[in-house]
Parts: sequence; C-alpha cells; structure tokens
Amino acid sequence: MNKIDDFFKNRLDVNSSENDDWNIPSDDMWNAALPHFPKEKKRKSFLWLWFCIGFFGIVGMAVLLSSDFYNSSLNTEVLNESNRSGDNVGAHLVVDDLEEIGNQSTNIDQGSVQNVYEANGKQVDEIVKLVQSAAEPKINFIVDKDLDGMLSNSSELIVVTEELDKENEILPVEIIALSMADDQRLGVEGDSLNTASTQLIRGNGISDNSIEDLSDGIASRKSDSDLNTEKGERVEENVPVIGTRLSRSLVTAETRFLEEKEFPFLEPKVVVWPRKEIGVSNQLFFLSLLNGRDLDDSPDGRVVFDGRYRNLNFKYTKWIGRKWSISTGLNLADLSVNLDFDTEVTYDEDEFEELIDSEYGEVFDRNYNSNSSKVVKLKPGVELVNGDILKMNGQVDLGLRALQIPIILNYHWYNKRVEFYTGLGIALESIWASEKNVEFKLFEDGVLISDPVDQIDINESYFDLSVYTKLGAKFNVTRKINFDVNLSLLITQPIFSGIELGLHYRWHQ
Amino acid sequence: MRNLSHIIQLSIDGNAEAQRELYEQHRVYWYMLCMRYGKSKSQADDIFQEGLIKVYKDLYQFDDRKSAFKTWSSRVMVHSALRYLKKYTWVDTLSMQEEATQYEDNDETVYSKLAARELTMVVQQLPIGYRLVFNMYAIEGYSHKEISTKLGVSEGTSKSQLSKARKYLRNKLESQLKITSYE
Repeated sequence: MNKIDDFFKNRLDVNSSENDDWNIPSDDMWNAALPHFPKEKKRKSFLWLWFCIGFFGIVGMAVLLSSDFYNSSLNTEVLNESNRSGDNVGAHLVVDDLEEIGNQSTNIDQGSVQNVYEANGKQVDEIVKLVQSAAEPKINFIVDKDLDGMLSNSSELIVVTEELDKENEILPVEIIALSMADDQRLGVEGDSLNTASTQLIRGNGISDNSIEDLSDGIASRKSDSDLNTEKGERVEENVPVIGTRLSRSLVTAETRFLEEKEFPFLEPKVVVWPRKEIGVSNQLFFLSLLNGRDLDDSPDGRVVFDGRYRNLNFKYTKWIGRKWSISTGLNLADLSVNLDFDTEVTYDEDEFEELIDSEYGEVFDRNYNSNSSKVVKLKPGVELVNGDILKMNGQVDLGLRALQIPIILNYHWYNKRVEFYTGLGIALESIWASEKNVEFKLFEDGVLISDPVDQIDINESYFDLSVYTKLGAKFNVTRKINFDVNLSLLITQPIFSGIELGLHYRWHQ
Repeated sequence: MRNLSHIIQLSIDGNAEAQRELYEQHRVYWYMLCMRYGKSKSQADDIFQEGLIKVYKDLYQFDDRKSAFKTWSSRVMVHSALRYLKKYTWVDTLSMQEEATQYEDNDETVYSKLAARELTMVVQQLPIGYRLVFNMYAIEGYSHKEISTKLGVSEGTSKSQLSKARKYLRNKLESQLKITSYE
C-alpha cells in the first residue's frame, strides 16, 4: 500500500462518504432484480393430507362408537348393553364395580400386557363376556386372552350372572364371566369351552330387579364334577363372585346351569387372532399430487408434470404370531408423465457439466455415457461464462411400468376395531422405462444457443430392488372384512411411494 | 433490530422484508464498488444489477465463519463486475498500454472537492486494465497473485498495471488540486 492507495481507500470508504443520492442505486434496479431472488416457500394445500386427516377422523369416531373386537373394553361394552336392557340394574352395578387399575403381565399369556381390572377391591384376572340380546338371540363370546392358554393353566372362572324376571317375562340376559385367582376355585370343566352348558352359569332364583335378590339368588357349586348342565343342578361350593353391588366385595353365589330349553342358541363364538388375509388395494402416488402444478417459483418459468398414474395391488398376508405377519403380493404400476419445463438457470460450468453428464442423462437416458458425445451441444461460437443466466426449455414423455413383488414383515397392534401396523421389507421390481419426444433447448438473452437435441426414443427394462416401509391402519368392518389405509414409502424408489387404500378378507385362527 | 445473520437467513428463506433490509444496509457499499469498476454510471448500474442478483442467489453459500458478509458480498460483486466487463467491454484490456488516452471525457469532472464522488469519477476514468487492478488491489485488498488468477494475467502485469494506475491517479489529483487552488 502506498499513499495513493490509502488515500483512495479511505476516501472511498462508505462510512466517510456523503450520501447525497449519487451513490444510492435507484429502486428500479432493486425492482428489476427482485424476481430473481429466492422466494418464500409457498404453503401448498396438501389435499391428500386433509383426506388422511378426515379418514383417520372418521375411523377414530368409528372406534369410539364401536364394540369390542380383539380387546375387551368391559366398561363401555357392558354399559352399552345395560343401557339397552334398560332395567338391568344388576349388570350396571357390575360395571360400576369394575375398575381398570393398570397394566401388567399375566401368567396366562407370559410377556403380554393385559388390562387389569379390579372389582370391589379384588383383582380380576380374566374377563369373559357373554351377551345375549333380545333382538338377536345369539351369544357373543368375547375373550381377551388366549383361550387355550387359559384352559391349560386351569384358570378359574368366576361368573356373575343375572336374570331379571319381570312379570314372568324372561328379559335379555347379560352374563359376565370373570376369572380370578383366589382360594376358592371354580375351574372350567371339560376339554373345551365349546359347549355352552359348561360355561354359562347363571344366577338362579333372581327375581325382580332387586340387588339383594340378585345376590341372594347366586349360588355356588361344590365341584366341577357336580356340574350337570342338563338339569341345572345346584352346586354347593362357594364361588367368589365379583360384582352385584358395591357393598359386597364377594358374594357367595349359587350357580345353576342354563337349561338347554331356555337357551338352545347358546353356542359361544370365540374371537381369536388373525391367521391370513388377502386383499386388493390402489395406491395414490405422491407424484400424482404434483400433477399440473407449476414447480418453478419464478413468474415466467414453469416446470410442470402432467401424468397418468394407474396402480393395482394384490396382497397376501400370513400371521406368524399374534402381532407379527409377513405380507407379499403383486403390485402393478403404470406411470406416464409428460415433463414440460421452461426455467431459468444461472450457468455454472461445473454444474452444467453435471447437468449434462448426470441429471440430463438420468432423466432422459439412463444409459447415457458421459464419455460419448453430449446430447446437448452448444451452437458453434457460443461460449458461456459462469454466472450467465440461461433459459432451459424442453419436454419429454416418460413412461414407467413396474411389476413389484414386496416381501414385508409387519408388526400389528390392536385397538378394538382398528388395528395399526408398520412394516419393513423389500420389493423385487421389474421395470420398463421409456423416454419419447425429447425436446431440449438452451437460450441466452432470448437467443437459442444450443443445437436441437437429436435423441431417438428410448425403451429399456431392468430389474431393481427397493427397500419398502409401511405404516398403516385397518378398520375392521366385520371380523372378516377390513379397510386398510397405509403410507407406503419406497426408500430407494420414491417415485412409487404413496398412500394405499385397500379392502381385505381375513381368516382367523 | 435483527442481527445480520438473522437477516441473511431470512433472506435465504425468501423473506422479502429481510431481503430489502439487507439491501438497504449494503446498497451504498455495493453501488460504490460497482461505480469504481464501471466506466460510466450505466455500466455501474448493469454491474450492480447482475451483482445484486448473484449475491442473493448465492446467499446460501455465505459462511460467516470464513469471512464477513461485507467481504464476501464485495467479492461476489467484483466477480460480477469482471464477468460483465469481460463480456461487454474487455477486449484484451490488460495488454493495452494506451493509458489515459482511452478514458472518456466527462463534463462532470469538476473536482471542486476531493470527495468520494469525484474520486470515484477519477477512478472511473482509468483505463480498464488500470482500473481493475487498482480497485482490486488498493480498495478490495486482493493480492497480485489473486488478481493474476482472476484476470488471467501474470503477476508482473498486475504490478505494472497498478504502478501505472497510481501514477495516473497522482497526476490527476495534482491537476485537480491545481484547479482547486486556482479557484
């Protein structure tokens, strides 16, 4: 630095120079530059998101209003039933007494966590619910544990029964069976619970709707061998019974087995776990959400996808445990996309080489070899300098057909009628890709600076492998039919990702 | 009041208010730089506009751990100026030895006082080779090595151009001082 340098540097310093407009750029320049600045990301209205929210909202509502499915929710269910039966005071009290006190593992199903209930200070190990409705003379037998396990562990059953007799009319019967471990036993006799008469124990002598009457009428039996379902003999052994009224923690019950002539329809149905499932589904590809949207932020540019997306999936799922399953199937996808773009880029030699060598090659020709002559050639004499602003204009018709065979390991968890699941796996893919009608032009200052692209239509096929993840929910319309919605993400082939809606038929164990 | 880092981040995110604020804070600095590199106001305007776009587009590349924003943005502006001059006016400039004969007369060069405005005009009148080297070396602080790389000349040429630029400016200032003293 010498004196001249210092002099100019100091005097030309912004802080020491006066601001009398000569060194203030006009706003015209700002306004002219403004369109080229980064734009704030617009909040896109993700209709699909609202669709999902709406769907899950409806499913959620349905869950709240639905009855038990795989897991019992005694409180809600019995209340519903007692409400339906109106005068069924006894049943209502049973519900009042029953209180969920937490979760713990049980000895029946080692390792699994069950809801734990308490009735009148006594812990209830098992809940079995039998409901008979007057409108539909069938008994639904719902158990929230493995029935086989229960039997093999000789778990006790305590049965609270109720029958209200009003003016000699047999009202709808509601029977709640609770098993509990106590010093008094009432074992489930027999090889199975398939016979209604060995399971259904009903209070005898209950008259009217008196609570006292109800409790008084409950009897006990002496032993399992005393059971005589045909004749409904009384048993003498005391049986701890949960419920009947708040003031009685346990009452001695007299039990009597239902006579077949009274309940000829008693054939309990045991809900068990899924075994296998088949179904069909259709996928909404995320790419289709971009359809017709202009992805270019600049006011005079455009990058538009316009496509047709078709898909049909066939699925087969086999459970390998209560909560684990493996699913496979056949996914068919047909994507036809027209990509039309007219967008501005700032020339950077390295980026441009990258664009031509890889990105262009990726989009327009998967087999493009950077060592071969370039597909995009500048006109003779044109030289670009880093920072030049170019316009890229072009279009291409891209076609993608895929046949996928996914193999996915799923984990399920159940909540009444809804079950959730997540899965991870792979998909073997056979893909047919095509690129047709390629057009690509480069402009600088409105002047065409590239030669026409000379590329023949390309068709190719190849095998590929994708990593597949799923997160979804099923709504069980019936035990056998369910609707499914899930988010399918193909990590290595995101173009096939989307939201899948399906309908399934299920077999149980 | 937002700090500069915050303003820059918002500008990267496309916040128009922050972009304007950044502009307000630096526009004089940037514009004066462009005026020194251009031969005229119209050239300076063109350089400024291109530089402005480049600064905002490349804003995400700015790393405050490596340099101050002023330094970084001035380099972007200089780069834009060089690109502009190379594209439109730079014809083998650094080999020219015609010195002061090439600058255009400017009726406005009445150096009543040696203020920034007048000095800028003096710099503007430098032949382009002198102007670039002088600006880059004396004002922006580039080394001769950096200048030689950016301009594609040897370090010797850069030094020679700088020396001639200083001589030209000294003469110009002296003549200006004479004019001022006569007045």
